[in-house]
Amino acid sequence: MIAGPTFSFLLLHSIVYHYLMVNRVTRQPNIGNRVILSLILLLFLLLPPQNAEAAIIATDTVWQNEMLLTEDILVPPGVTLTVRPGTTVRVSPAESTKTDPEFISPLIEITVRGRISIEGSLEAPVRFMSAEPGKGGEWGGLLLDGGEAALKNCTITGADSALYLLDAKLTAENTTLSGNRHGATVIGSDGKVSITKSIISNNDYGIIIIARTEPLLTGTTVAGNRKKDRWKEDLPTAPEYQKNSYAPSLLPIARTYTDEALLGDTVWRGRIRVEGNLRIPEGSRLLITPGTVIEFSRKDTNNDAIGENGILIQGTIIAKGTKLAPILFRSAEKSRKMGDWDSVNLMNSDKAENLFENCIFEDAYRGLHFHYSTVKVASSSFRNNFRGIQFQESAVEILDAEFIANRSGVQGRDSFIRFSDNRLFDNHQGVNFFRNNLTFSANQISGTLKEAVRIREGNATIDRNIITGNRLGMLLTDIYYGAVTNNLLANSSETALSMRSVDNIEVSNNYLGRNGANGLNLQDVRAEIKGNLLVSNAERGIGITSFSGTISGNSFAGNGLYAIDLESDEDIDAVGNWWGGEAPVAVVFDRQRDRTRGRVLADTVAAQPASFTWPLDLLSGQITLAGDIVINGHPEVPKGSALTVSPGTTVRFAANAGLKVHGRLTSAGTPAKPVRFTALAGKSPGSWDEIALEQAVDSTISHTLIEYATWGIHSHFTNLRIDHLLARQNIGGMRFRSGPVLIRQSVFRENSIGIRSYIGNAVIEENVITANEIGLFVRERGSGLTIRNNNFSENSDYNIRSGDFNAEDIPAAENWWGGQEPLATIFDGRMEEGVGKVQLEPYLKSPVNLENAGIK
Amino acid sequence: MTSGQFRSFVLPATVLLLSTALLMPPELRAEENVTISGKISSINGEPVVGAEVYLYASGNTRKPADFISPKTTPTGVYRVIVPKAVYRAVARLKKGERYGPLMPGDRHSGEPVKIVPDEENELTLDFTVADMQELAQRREKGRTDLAEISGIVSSDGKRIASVYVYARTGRLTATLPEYFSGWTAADGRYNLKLPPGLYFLGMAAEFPPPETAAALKEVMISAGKLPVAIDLQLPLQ
Repeated sequence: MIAGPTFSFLLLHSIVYHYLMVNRVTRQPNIGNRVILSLILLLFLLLPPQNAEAAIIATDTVWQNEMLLTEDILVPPGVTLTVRPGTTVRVSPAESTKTDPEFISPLIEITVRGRISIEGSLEAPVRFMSAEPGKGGEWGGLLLDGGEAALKNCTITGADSALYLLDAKLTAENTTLSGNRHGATVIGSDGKVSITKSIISNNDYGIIIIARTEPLLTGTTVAGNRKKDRWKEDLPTAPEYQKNSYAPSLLPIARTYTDEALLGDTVWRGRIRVEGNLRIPEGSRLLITPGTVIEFSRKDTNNDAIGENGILIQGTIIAKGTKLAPILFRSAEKSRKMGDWDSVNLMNSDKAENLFENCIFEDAYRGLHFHYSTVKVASSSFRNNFRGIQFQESAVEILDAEFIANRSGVQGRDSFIRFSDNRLFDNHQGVNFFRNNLTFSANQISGTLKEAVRIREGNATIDRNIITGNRLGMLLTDIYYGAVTNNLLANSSETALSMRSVDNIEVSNNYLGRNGANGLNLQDVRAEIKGNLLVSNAERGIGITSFSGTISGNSFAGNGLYAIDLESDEDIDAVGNWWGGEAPVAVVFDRQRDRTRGRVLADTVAAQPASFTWPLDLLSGQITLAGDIVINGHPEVPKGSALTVSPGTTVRFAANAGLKVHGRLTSAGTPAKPVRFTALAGKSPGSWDEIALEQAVDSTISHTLIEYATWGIHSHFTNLRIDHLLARQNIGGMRFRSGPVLIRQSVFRENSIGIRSYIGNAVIEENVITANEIGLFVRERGSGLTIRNNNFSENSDYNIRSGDFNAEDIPAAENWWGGQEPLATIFDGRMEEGVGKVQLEPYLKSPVNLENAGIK
Repeated sequence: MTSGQFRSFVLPATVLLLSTALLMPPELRAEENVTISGKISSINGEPVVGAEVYLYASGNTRKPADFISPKTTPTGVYRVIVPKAVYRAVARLKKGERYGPLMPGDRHSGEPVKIVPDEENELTLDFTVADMQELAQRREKGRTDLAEISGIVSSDGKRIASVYVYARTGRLTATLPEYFSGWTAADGRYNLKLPPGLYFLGMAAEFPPPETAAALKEVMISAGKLPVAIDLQLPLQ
């Protein structure tokens, strides 16, 4: 029951609320308005804070005095939000389950795509804070998504990121960012940030820069932050992919639809225009033939910069494009923008499987959006949408699809999901799954500006994914059952895999390498962590806040700070791991260094690294291998990627296995720790295939052993430098076409053919080429070779054989020919007419001192 | 009535009525009327009293109706005479205002039914009305579990890529099939989800499939969690 005074109070409050929030104090108030405002402000002093519900601020608006935000605020383009001096904005904490893609944080946030002007003064600063202050991170922050902000005399506390500046323009003066998880996050490639006479302190991280342009910090103190004051990361990068949109040949518009329902079966061909909300009722079907183009005009009645036209399927949709004639859903506007149209929505459509094959969705709010439906998406593309796909309570298959440059790739909840063989590049967020039964396999995710993969609750099988070059790799929380196996998690700007409140989960045979912070973070985790390769992470292999389970059979090497950093005071079981050739005490941070921490029980030290079987067909990204690696099949280092093999590493190839390199290979052995490429089983030539280099620009091979291969190295069109290679007992040590190739200080021994050149451009100098059947075989165009200061000896057939198709003379002066008459060891034009001659004069009478050639 | 009254009121009224009738558009003339009648029942088959049939002269049914029938009798029967035209019809049982959103307890017949009068000028049209919210809840609980069939498509012993399998509930090929698989890959494999029942499977390389008669394989699909393996060796459409 509402008492009289209370009722009056609520009435008064409602009047003020109506004035300020519904009509909103807009634009420049006139004198009358100023009087009213003054009265209202006087009254307002007597009132508690007003609530701002989830709101799109559609016109210029002013905030002042006390504000309480309980839901997100969006300032769309063209709108200015002004915050008057002395205003305090309190934000309620909430781990929201909201699904709207236009917001950036899962927490309550103020998203600005237009402009925000914060007009605090020294006497009356503006304050943004959590309504329930905690450790920081209770609310999202002031998030500028391409928007503009001018801040004066402002304090922001309690946020996940007080300022999150995505391609934003910011000027801030006398601003304090304190008590947040992140003070400021500057992100993107097209922003301009200037912070003057401000303080960024007492946050976990002061300022994070993931941007091409450095922020200008003039007279600003960035100090006293708990973990780091400043964290600079490279912009996440995706591998090369087709960046252009599909451009169909446009036909005249065959049919235009407005607000209407299509009963029965409707078949679409040609070019369709939708200028309203089209509905396919229950029992009806929409069938779309290959090559159809569906264009949606823009209608924005609520001025939120998001279009409203779309399709609602309550019956069934079959959209069956082909690779050559895809079906295109896109904006009808001349200048197409993200969010021009709403979505293809499906509701309660589960009588048959809805099918989207070879479809392209562009410029939508949500490309596909469905509830209670059965949907298969195959070989389709989602580009430049606020969100590619969003669904809940559905049975879903998403296969072989690509998600490119969306604000958010995929979000799904409470569903049965098979998500496999998809590619997600350059999205702001990758996938976000909540409370699903999930199979997540063989996907490739790169270039994500936030988490590539976020999975909460439910169970998940996560297998054979390539998650490289994102800001954050994978975040798993509250998973009660599942497995993370055979994944490549590399090159994250921060941590590759974070698990929190996870139980009954196996993490095995994953590559967690070359990440900007940690390979793996564990907080409140019960798991079995075995057989993973954690290598060359900038900070830690594993950072442990709290953990129960076993960590065994893993290989740690080259991590910047520690292999394992244990923060909790409880001991953990970590026996049977390989610590990169170090004693555990040298690479583990535990009670031995800090008495407040538990012990890492690593008493059993593996003398040899545990075998790590490369789990994928690709070595994508910047990959470093260390320890004992087993290769099956022919995994590829794709163009734009680079593989570094650390000193002391052994790579063992299964029968017929090999390596294909289209990126760059660096075999970085040292005299003390050579690299070995050898057979997994068998010790005879041909026990494995070859290392094939195809335009593998700038590859190098140093202090390396290659043995028992069919061809050790097979190089085409690659500028390749080889030194201190020992190629022995292969069918062929090395073959190459073109170049330029430099081979020096190497040994080719006991191969059928030591070196084979085909139209080669190479310098071959200071090598020992001995005990092969043929030392050097020149198949064609031998004039491109320079062969000098080598020791040729005991090659049973020939030291050099000029091939039948080689009509050119081969420059090979100043070599030693094994103490025999040189011509007796050479097959060339002197023995067969028309074949090029080896120009061996002058030749050396005694061997070159090459005792350091090859490896020891 | 006096003759003066007749001259001053009845005669002009009659003339007015006649002239109005002559000027009326043909669709509103009495001889162009059509009678629509039928029974309105609940989803349990019981007659619904007090329901009305709303008739719309265009596809837009989210506006005031052009005609509304008298309320149904205790036996659920309604009857309405309207100008002969094409209509969309829905039945509603509303407790409050005739217009506006359905309130809890109101009932509705769902998708509008298209009415095309024939030469008889007499139409019978029955409706079933239900609480939409209740219907949605029932539907959610009874979400359709689709069975899955999977197999290899081949012709002359060769696996076929870039075709798809469809399922019909009858042998007639004049209508489009009810269910479609995705395109096969090089391995010729297809997957198709459909409710348990009797089907006739075919395959085609163009979409939608041509209406020409096709060889179909008859299969009975039972409910089950695991895919049923059915390889198909059929001539292509």
